[in-house]
Amino acid sequence: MKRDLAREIRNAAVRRREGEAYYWCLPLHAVRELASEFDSSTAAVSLRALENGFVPERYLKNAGTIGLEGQAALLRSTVLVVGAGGIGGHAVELLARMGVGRIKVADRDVFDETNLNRQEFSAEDLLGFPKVDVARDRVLAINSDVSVAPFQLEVSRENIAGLLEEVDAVIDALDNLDDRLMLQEACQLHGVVMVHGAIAGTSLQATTVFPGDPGLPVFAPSAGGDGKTRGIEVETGNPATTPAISAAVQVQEALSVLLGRTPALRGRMLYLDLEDWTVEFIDLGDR
Amino acid sequence: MEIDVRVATILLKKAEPPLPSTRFSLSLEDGTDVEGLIGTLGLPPQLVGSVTLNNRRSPRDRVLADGDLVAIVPAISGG
Repeated sequence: MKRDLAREIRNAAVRRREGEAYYWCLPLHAVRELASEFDSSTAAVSLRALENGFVPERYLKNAGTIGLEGQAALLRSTVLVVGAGGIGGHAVELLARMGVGRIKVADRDVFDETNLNRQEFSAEDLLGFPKVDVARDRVLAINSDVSVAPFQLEVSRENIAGLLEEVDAVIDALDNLDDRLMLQEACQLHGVVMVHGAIAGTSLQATTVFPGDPGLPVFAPSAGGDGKTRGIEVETGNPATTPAISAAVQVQEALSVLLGRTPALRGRMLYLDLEDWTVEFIDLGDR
Repeated sequence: MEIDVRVATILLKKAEPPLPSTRFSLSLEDGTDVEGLIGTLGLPPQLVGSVTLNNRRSPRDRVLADGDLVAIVPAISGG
């Protein structure tokens, strides 16, 4: 007798209580077994489960906030993370844990010792390895529903259009103003939402830019040794906590975009200093 | 004219001389613009990122008016 995936999902589901609600959940071992049996990906099994009202157990703690339809929407989404350093590494990990189905990540660098204080995927025995390859391997270990496309390159006007293909939202995790403005211009041109975040010391700023929005402020240039414009982070450095929070803020904004909700930071920029909790919301003007 | 100023903590020690507080009132000559205020405060212009006038982003050549609230945050671009 030919076995039916939807029926097998139903047979393997277990009931779980989550607060006041009950969910029929599909444990990870069942997702894996069904993927193997039906010669498909775990992502396809997870999606099929969600479409039939079953929650892959790994996403149970997402369900109360984004629902089954929201989870399915995330699995069908693609996010481009530009830069795989302090912000980018944390962003990739959060996107993977939430179950965003496809993550493109671009960064030309390999890990060095100065990354170890803050970059999520850096480790002593991974120094010299390309950041994007390490990110891909790490995500594979975290969530097999998620595919990572690594691009070890310096993002430029020449290659950005290709990177933006089939992308639903972009996380700006770059480290200089010039590349950020280039990315913003390309996102505007290709109609993609960009979620900006930048850090310096205990400070961060973040905003979400839709096509047609006024976008990032341009500050007076102070070109660094490589000719790129940088800010006060040249003096303050970047400790461990700030990129983690910036990434969390940016991923939450990206999730709102993917789920069709209104991102809280559209049209205004958050400035936050974690040392004394200075908070400013800067109105960026008319859309 | 008298304006209210907020300066991000990270910028206080970058001013020459250093600014004592993140929030203060300031008397300025009429006709002073945002750029002039940055100069009066002794802030290095290249370290200033966004300036808001009454909570809206403001260009550097905007002339200030009595009672304005100006907030100054640093240029940050790390990732």
